[in-house]
Amino acid sequence: MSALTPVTTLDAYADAGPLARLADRAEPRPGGQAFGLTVLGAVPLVVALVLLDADLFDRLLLFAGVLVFAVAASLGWAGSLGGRYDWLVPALLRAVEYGVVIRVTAVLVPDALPAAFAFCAALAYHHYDVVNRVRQTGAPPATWVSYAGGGFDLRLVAFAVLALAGAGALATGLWVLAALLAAVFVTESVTTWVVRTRTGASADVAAPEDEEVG
Amino acid sequence: VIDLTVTAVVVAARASPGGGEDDGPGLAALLPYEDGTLLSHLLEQLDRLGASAHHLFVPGDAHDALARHVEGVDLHAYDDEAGLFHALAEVAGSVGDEPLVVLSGDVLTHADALADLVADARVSTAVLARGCPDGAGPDGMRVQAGRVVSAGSSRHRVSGATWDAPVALRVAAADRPALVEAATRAADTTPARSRPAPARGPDVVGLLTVALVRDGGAVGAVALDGRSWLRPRSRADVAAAPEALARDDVAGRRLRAAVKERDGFVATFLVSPWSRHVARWAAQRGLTPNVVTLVSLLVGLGAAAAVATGERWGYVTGAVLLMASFALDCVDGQVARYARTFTALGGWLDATLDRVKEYAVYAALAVGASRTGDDVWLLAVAALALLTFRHTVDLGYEVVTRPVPPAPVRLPYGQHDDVPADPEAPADADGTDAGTDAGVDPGDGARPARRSPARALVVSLASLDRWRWTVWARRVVVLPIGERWLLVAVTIALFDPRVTLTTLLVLGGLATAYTTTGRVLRTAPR
Repeated sequence: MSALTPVTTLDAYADAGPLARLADRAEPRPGGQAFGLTVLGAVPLVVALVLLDADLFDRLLLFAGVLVFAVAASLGWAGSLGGRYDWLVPALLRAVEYGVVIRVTAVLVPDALPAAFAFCAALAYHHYDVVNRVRQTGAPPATWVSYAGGGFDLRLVAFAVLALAGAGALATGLWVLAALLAAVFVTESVTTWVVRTRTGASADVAAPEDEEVG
Repeated sequence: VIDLTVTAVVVAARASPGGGEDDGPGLAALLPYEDGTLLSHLLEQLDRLGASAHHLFVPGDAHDALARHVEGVDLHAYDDEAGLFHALAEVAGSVGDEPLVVLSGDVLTHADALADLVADARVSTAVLARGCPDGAGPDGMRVQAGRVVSAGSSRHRVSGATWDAPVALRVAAADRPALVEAATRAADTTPARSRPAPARGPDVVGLLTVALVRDGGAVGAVALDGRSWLRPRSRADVAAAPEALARDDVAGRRLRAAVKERDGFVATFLVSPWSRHVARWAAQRGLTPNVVTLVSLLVGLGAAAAVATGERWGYVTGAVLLMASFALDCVDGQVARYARTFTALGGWLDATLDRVKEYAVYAALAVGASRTGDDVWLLAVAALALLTFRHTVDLGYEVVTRPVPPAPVRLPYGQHDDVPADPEAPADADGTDAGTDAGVDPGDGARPARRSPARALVVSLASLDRWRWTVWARRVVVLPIGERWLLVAVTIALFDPRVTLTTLLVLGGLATAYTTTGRVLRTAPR
């Protein structure tokens, strides 16, 4: 019983952060190019990931690739997700973000892969939380969560900065970011449910049983 | 938690001459049944389903007789049909802000059937009726995708009816203004008073349903699904009723209905056949679905802890606990369906905690492996990313392909049949994707054969569903949660974390490629 349209639902699923929301205010707004911009914007980043090695040049290349992708995908998201293949955009954003974290950590600091797992697990909690809240209540989390959580755009840039700073910074930074993000995401979603239950809003719901995505 | 309900019970039907009470007006609802009357039996059933107030509508000449029989209810006497609908409109517009249930006072059916209409959180504004796939009479209803798109009544003909006339109508609190309007319209359109009143009384439920639907209101259809209903008109009818009702397998039907209709192979064949009995046991003891969900979480985390030991006994224990957790995961939904307790929180907990359990097990596999000197963190985080990606593909696709509920046929209430005056207006909303695909005969030259290769592939894959096993093969290939967790349980019990995670990545990768390709092809231009 989502009160949202398909486009606004996909907007919420995308988990866009400050950069994308800044692009959203730009005029004239690009329109209907989200899928194309996201795919094309990912090409240099994928090349940088494939070539990635521990030396500084590769890490600079990665940083540039992340910047290009963050800008392209932000512009795409700002143009609204109404295109034919735009339902794939949230999944593409997941693939790029999780993929960058996994590939870069595996190459630069394999010992920090448990931290990468923690980081991705915190993201996954948030991503499933958004989807399940929209499906059950029709309401995505408040906008401030997009800023506090960074969104795919800011998180990618922050991660690239850590990678540029070196292996030690990356390992420590991943743990710290994982803890901070988990704290924000879990606290916010639990608080929302507690408030919703206390105020008796649970009685208003007649969520038809959705096809569960197993 | 059951929403409180106000009921509007119309006590107008007369018992057949000579067969009923000699007690004045001879109302069918006052025929003796069990310890009381049909009416007192019905009111007790509704009380147990959360009715907070009853409003009885009675013909003026029967008011005093009824007043002697019932206590603690509001009696509204009316003179004629128009007066009845005006009285209904007034109650609908002024009494409380709960949902309102309208039905006839002489209805005799199972409380379980009434509960599906009155006490199920998923039901908004809806009618309770019997589905007749082979066609129903002109006073029945045409129903598409669970919505009434056109209805008949004692004064309206419906075309292409697939459901019988409604037994009862529930109007959600938010739709009370629409009910007021519908009742007012019915009152203003009543034929002249001189016509003899039908013995059954006015077709209140049918006429209100027509008025609501023709005004564009969303009215759902709740199926009686094999549960009988009667409107006895004589003592002989009442005497025969218990036997007729006892023939219905109400308990068995309720248990079957607790199982999710479309589910994976493991859930359908390995778990649900016995877990629904667990669900009934839990529901009868008042356990809520959310309690079961939380127990499932604890068992799932226990599985993760066992796997994290890195020992063989831990792997085997973890496998057993993981499947136990999955069974409980099926039970929570079955408890919700059985007890009709659906909440947004429950849906969210169920879906979110599934992921918490699963990703905890992935991490535990890596921890367990590290105790034996094997580093599989890369595989574990890759498995997490792959599954999240695949679910996001599914969820995004679901957003753009969610079916739009069929719109009711808007018509003036006064029109007898349901043929739209405007010949351009579509009479029904057929021609959906599924319908078109299903109707395609590959050898049929009548259809224009301008179809892209992508569509052709999708259509030919869909046509495989003619054979039952291919339906299940397609559901297993996409590796839903039951299949996936069984895979984890078997491989970890027999082998080690590396084998488990590699299997998950390979089979999960194939499933991802299969489902993503299929979804992209389905959204490709035709």
